[in-house]
Formats: sequence, structure tokens, C-alpha cells
Amino acid sequence: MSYLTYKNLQFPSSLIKDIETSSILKSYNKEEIVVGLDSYQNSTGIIVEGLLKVLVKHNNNNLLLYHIDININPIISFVDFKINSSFTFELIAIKKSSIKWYNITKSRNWYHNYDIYKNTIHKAYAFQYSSIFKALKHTQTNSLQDKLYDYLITKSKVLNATQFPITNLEIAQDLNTTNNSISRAFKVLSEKNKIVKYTDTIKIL
Amino acid sequence: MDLIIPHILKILDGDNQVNHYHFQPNDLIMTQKSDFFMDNLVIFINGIAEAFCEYEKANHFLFFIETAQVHFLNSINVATQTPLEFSLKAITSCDAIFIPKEKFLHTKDNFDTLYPYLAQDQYTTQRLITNSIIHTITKNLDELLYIYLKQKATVLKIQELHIQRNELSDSLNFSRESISRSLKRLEQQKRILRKPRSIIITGF
Repeated sequence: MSYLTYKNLQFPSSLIKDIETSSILKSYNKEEIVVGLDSYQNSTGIIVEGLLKVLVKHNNNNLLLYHIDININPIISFVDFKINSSFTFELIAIKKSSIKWYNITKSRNWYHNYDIYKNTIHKAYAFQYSSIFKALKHTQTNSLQDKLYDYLITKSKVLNATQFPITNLEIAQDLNTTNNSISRAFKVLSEKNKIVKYTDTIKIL
Repeated sequence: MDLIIPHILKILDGDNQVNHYHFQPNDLIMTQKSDFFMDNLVIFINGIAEAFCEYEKANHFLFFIETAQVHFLNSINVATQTPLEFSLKAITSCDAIFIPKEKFLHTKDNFDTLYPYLAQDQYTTQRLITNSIIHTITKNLDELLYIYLKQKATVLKIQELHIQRNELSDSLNFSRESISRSLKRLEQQKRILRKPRSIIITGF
């Protein structure tokens, strides 16, 4: 299974074999916190199943930064290869997910010995940076309905579905706003025929 | 961390591809979206600078940095050929070295030697940006303004900042009237003292 999964990363067989023998597979249920804020960790990993979201959190405020999924961004890059670095973000499973965790020292060796691994890490960093700045820009410039629409489009892409279940509460937490504000923004988007809101699901038009 | 400077200079000793630049206060050291910063690694070797991003012709303050904190700010942009997401403006005299990407990326010894510093700086920069996001989503104008003033006073190691309202307005993307009202509230809270041409941070 893992060999097929790594196909997206186009790693050489020697590297895949090393990852297989050096990593520990852990599974997470939907909504489970994979890595908590400010927890210390000496390992990083590759997602082999499922979908994760990365949030910045402070007291009761959250902001969704980006998703980690197999096809677009499978590496958990924000550990930064730094031994005993603390996580600045919270990582949560959106669906049942599995991650192969391996020691940062191993990651550092692969980084030096495999250009493909180094390039993958660099791309993951770049994706992470770009996503963080996009989130920051949204907080600065966009109206709530624009933020909500963009959020739903992103969700639709990572879930690969135009209709999907989601609650106002989940959205409010991801966008750092209130349920009532989300309800009003939904009304505006419905009136503009951009979405249809059903009881438990949302359809992007 | 400052031990890196002689280390880098030793690596690059005698290399005619390396350019040294000196910047005066308010000079732009790095500019957002410029292709130049995808092609040249910037090593910030001396001074204090302000990082900000520009959205729809308005600036958004991110953080202040000094060379004791961070030296490498665009290694990922050079490595992945992606545009820089923020700009960097000198607030004191600053010095930087620019290294062409060929020299940085294709000289494995250099890259591997610099790697621990690149990773450390990546981590520090991410922390600074994350803090900026947290401030943006959790703080009101009074708090943002106070954080800005206190951080600036801290990196400059002075209690009295000679700063204009329009400079604060440009950095924080609020109107001058809002900044003035906020400064008044901060003074009422005894967190600052307003003077005609400066602001004193109290309890600093």
C-alpha cells in the first residue's frame, strides 16, 4: 500500500525502503488532534491516508491555514527538522487518517542524501508559506462571505466533492468568527446563487 | 547565532560572485514578488529591519528582525523559485550579502554547511509570522499598536521612539485618525506617553 502511496512523491525505491523500515504508522479518527499546539516532537511524517487541517490557535481563536493531503501536500513540513522544536500549529484529522512518522534525524539524512526528498521538503515549505500568507491576506482584505466562499471551494477541492457535510460551528471555528456571522454569510452566498445550503450539507454551484 | 557571519565569510572568501550591499534607514532590502529574490539568496548580516506584506496597495506589518535572530529570509524562495511573500525595510543601517542561486543551490558543500542555519531561520521566521497572524486575529487596534511600538522600542533598545502618525498609519493599515485615537487611549492607560514628535513607551 505504501509503495503505491509514495508514487505521488516519486521517491526512489531505496528511499521508500528506508522510510518503510524507519517509520511508525499511526492512525487517527475524524476530529482527533494529531499534534497539539506547543507540543514537542522529534519526528515528522508523511500522510498515507485521509486528510488533515492545520490551524493556528490562540486562546479561543482559531484560523485555518491549510490542508495536508496525499495528492497536494503529503509532508508534515512545519516541524522544520529542528530537534525538540515545538509545534506552532495544531494538526487535526478531518477524516480517518494515517501517518507514517519518522525521526527528524532520519529526515535530515534523507534531505542531504536524496535531492528528490530535499526538493519535496522545499516544495512543502513553499506551499506552507504561501498558504499562511494567503490566510493572513484573507484576514486583512476579504469580506466574510468571500472568506467563506474561498473556504468552501478549498474544502470542495480537498474532499474532491461539490456537495459535502459541514456544520456552521466547524466553519466558525476555522474562520475565527461566530455561528451567527456564518449564517448571515451563507444567506448572502445563497442569494448570489454560489451555494445551496441543505440541513447537513452544502453544495457548491 | 552571530558566529555564522565569520563562518559564511570564510566559505565565500575570495568569491567574486558575492555582492555586499549597505542600506540606509527606510531603504528596501527585499521586495515582495520580485523575481530577483528568487534568483539571489539574501544573507542579512547587520542591522534591524521591518518585515511587512503589501495587500491591495496597503501595508501590513509582520515583525521586526535583527541579525541576532535571523540571517536567511528567502532560502525557500530561491530553492523552489517561488516569489517572496513579504518585503523587508531597513529601520537602522543594514548590511546584506546577495549570493546568486547557482552558487547557493549547486555548491553542495556550501548548501550543506549552511543547512543548520537555514533550518533554524526557517523555524524562527515561521514563529514570527505565526505570532503576527495570532495578533491579527486576536488583537484590537490598541493592542496591535502597543505591540508594534513595544517591539520597535525593544529591537532599537530605546524607550523613546521618534515616529510620525502617518508612519504608524502606513505600517498598521489604519487611518491616521484611528491611530491618534488609539494613541490617546494608550496614554490614558499609562502605557505610553505622547510627545509632539515622539512616543515614550512606559514600563519598558
